Amino acid sequence: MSKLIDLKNINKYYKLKDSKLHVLKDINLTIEQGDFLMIMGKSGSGKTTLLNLLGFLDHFDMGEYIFNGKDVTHLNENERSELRNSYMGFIFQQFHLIDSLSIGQNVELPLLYKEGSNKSKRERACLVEKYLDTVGLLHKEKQSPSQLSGGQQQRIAIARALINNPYVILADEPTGALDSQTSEEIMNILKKLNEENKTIIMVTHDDDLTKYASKVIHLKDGVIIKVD
Amino acid sequence: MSIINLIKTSIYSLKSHKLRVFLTMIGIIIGISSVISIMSVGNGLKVKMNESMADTSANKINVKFEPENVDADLTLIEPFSKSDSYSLKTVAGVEKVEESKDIQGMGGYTSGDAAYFDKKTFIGLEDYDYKEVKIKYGRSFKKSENSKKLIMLDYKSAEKLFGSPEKAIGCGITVNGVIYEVTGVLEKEGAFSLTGGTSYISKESKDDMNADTAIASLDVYIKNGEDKEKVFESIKKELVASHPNLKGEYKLQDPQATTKIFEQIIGYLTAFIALISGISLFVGGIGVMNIMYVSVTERKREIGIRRAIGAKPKSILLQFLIEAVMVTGLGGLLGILFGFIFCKIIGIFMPFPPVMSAESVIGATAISVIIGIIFGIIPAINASKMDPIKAIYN
Repeated sequence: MSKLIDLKNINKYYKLKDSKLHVLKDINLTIEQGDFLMIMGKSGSGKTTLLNLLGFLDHFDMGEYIFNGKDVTHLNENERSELRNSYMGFIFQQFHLIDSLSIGQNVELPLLYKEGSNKSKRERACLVEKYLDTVGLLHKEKQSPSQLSGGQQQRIAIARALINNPYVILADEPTGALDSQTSEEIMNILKKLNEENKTIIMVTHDDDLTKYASKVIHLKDGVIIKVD
Repeated sequence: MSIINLIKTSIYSLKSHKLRVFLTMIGIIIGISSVISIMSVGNGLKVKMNESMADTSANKINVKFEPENVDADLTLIEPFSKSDSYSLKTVAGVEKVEESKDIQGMGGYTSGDAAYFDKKTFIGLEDYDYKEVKIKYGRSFKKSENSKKLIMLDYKSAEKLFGSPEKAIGCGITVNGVIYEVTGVLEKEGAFSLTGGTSYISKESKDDMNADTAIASLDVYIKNGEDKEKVFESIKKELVASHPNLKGEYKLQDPQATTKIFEQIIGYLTAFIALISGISLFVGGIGVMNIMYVSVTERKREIGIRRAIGAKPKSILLQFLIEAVMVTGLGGLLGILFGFIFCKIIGIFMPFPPVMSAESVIGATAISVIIGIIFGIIPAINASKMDPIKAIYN
């Protein structure tokens, strides 16, 4: 196992009107290739902020971020976008599919934003089919997201997160809006991906889900209080 | 993202708001179609004018004389003589010389002083083309009488010379010193008649009359490839030499120059009116800007999602910019179409058909695209600068 992510003394503040909110305090975290990391904590503990920070969506004020052996602390927006596109796959609680696009187009989207990739239309269609198959929703390309159930939409979102074959899957309470049975289906897909050596970082406040994790960190008021 | 995919993306999102897009487009459609129509009417006017001036050949110049004393009577000064027509032919570059018969722009119209004993009046004269005229008293003269000095007097002149017009029939009056017999008096013309009435004489009589009057100017036809100015200078020298004691100057009148000035004026007017109707384009552009702001706000989450899966700010900017340009571009094309239809309709009611030029079509397309860029760029920049976190978790 190789070190994929290394956070050193990360601090982050939110600027309020006349004060600063210290959301992350001296976070030190190492994530290995193939980990299934869960970030637990109450709402407001800073867990989503930490996840977005790991996924190059959010910035931090102090500290150092080493990703895959490279210092990514001071990157501009374009470089961060490229890293997100190539190495990160996002899954959100509310699925966040684009309604004006079909299922196939939603899944295909990260391929279109990939810099320097000149995959033909047919190659892209092949990949879309492959990952729709992975999440068990083959032959739904032409449908619109609104025609699918929540669980199905989340599976489409997973397919979208996977299509660029990223190093890390970042999931922000992926089962938060689903009933327990569909939750289990989603968790099984993630577990299977993890068994195929995909690194998964997931935010949750559901203790029942920790059984899937290889490593759990507990956050409270921006501080890591426990690592299992 | 490649341009093709960006365009596709824009088409998808425009498709999902068809009505809104169409309403936004109306402003552009109205603007472009009115600009196109006005430009086409202006063009049509130019073309019509060129057609009517076509008989003034490109090689023709008009030499006239401008006396120092503006009131001087040209008949007395005689700046041109019959012999000039022959002597000028020898000037290098001259093809042909003709006496200009008509006062420019007045057609076959001339004028003369009519007198009956002690009463005098100034009359407008035209040659009678033997078509029907409205006779009040007496009769019109026949073609067989064309060599006789006969006149059909207009009502007002008859009134002035004879008191009551019916008394004029059969009487002789002098016009420019020649005696004419009045065969008829014409019906009274409308109160708004510009000429104040026209009397008719036969063409032969009129030519006789003109033969006596001074030559007002000369039409000189210049050989192909010769410089008008240079030839005119030699003509001027020649004329000054043969008319040594004249106070005044020979001047060149290039009929084409007049046409060009008119063309220029029409061009300016067209541009001016087109500019005014262009204001509606500006209003349309504001509409586009407004709708783009709404669109950016509405699709905040979509922007966030796109950024999360790796869209660069530039991609987002282009996506919204292309959307705006597509709205105005399509509006522009529809505007051109409507402008074309409009021109066809105007053509039915106008004495000259509007002419839609390729330049105005290309110009209109370019303008609508530019409007899209100008009014779409700020909302698009806003969209691209949006913080992905805030956009997603709003």
